[in-house]
Amino acid sequence: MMEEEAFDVAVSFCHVSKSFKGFGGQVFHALNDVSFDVGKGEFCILAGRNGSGKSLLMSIAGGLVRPDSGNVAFPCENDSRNATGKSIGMVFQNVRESILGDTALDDVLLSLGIRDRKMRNPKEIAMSLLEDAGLKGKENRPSHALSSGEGRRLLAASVLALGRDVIFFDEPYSNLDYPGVREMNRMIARLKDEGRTIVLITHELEKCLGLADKLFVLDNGVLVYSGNPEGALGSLNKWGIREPEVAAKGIKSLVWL
Amino acid sequence: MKDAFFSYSKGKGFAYSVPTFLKVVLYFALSAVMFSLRLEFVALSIAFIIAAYSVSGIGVCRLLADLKQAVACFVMILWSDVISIFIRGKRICDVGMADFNVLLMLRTVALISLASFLFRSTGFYDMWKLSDDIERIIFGKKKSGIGAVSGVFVMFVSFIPQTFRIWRTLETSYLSRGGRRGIRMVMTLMPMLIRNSMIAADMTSDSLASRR
Repeated sequence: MMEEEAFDVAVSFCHVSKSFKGFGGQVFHALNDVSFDVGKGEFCILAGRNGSGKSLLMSIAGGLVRPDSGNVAFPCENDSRNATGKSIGMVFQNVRESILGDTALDDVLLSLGIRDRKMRNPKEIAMSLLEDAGLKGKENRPSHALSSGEGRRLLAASVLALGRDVIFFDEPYSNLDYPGVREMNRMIARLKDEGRTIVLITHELEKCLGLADKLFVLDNGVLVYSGNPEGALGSLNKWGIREPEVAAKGIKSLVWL
Repeated sequence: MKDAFFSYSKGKGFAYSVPTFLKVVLYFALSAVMFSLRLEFVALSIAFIIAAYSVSGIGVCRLLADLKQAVACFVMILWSDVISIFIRGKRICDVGMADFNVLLMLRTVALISLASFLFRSTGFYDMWKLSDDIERIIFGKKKSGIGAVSGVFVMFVSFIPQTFRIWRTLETSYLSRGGRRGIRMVMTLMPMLIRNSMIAADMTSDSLASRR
């Protein structure tokens, strides 16, 4: 028997389509036959102009929105009969509305409580996750008093508390200053090193492309590029994405760390 | 940044050492009792609550901040009376009207004070855990996940400060455009508050659903 090259797929989008009806009855095709695989442990960037369907694709992967046709499979989930995207964690773009706890600690504790009611020492685990997220000393700060960057890192910590292996970050750099972007990238790089699968939704490629294993580009709901990041250079402008200036050090230098 | 109304504030007084279950039971029991007490006893209860608040470790200033909400209720009480006179030619309650209005206002103050005591001194996680425990006892135990009732609780608790935050944002935006505080501002911003609150609630609901 021939051995095939091992490629564990974490998430597989298969012919996913979704459309919405407008007030005048006109149909807007938000996603059109989108198919691609995200490998286990990969860092992928899903790029595209505003309204191209990136966040919608994340919502479909997380089971929040049903596609009109096609499906999303999670081959790596242990119990394939109940594979419903429970391995997916989502760090949403709207930080303020997505934090559920009164304080940073509460938010992570809530996730731990949802994961397992009988967990021993949840507070210690929560503190450790907050420390990893760079929020040590801010655990009792009201969640509304956290900055955008801190809020995003808190959401990531809460997602990790759920024990999710695949993490989607939706526009993690919006409203972040340079140190905030660097903090976020450090956290993402660490998660990548830990072997987690990461899908980062953004159009700011100059801040993160150097970390990516794969790049997917959506344009008007259609997947127009899928492959290694280098292959897309030179074509990004026509898809509404700013072409990053690749320095002499190469594409790996395209990351704010 | 200003504290949101009824938001938890960390402290070390006796209010924080009372078990959450007891606080919730007392909250509902005392709230019900307030509706059966006469005016002078309600006033006495408020004095007692304020005295308890001052030694609770929460801080009376936080109670006063929460009591600002009572002003809107006072306006509504008086306004409904005015409308009643205008439409029916008489007050809502003909007998002892002045007392009735004062009683309603005092009850409002008492209820807000009790809610303030509960929410200011009880962390979100403790409240959620209690609601989840009760749900699991009633509807059966599950090791993981989030129940329907405790899910609604999370939404409700998140919704209150969110609504106030949205209101503050709208108010700032209105004032920065040259508007003035008043009834007109409230009438203008109310539909926007409802719309924005619904959008925010939808996002919060997604966040909760993604953690199930």
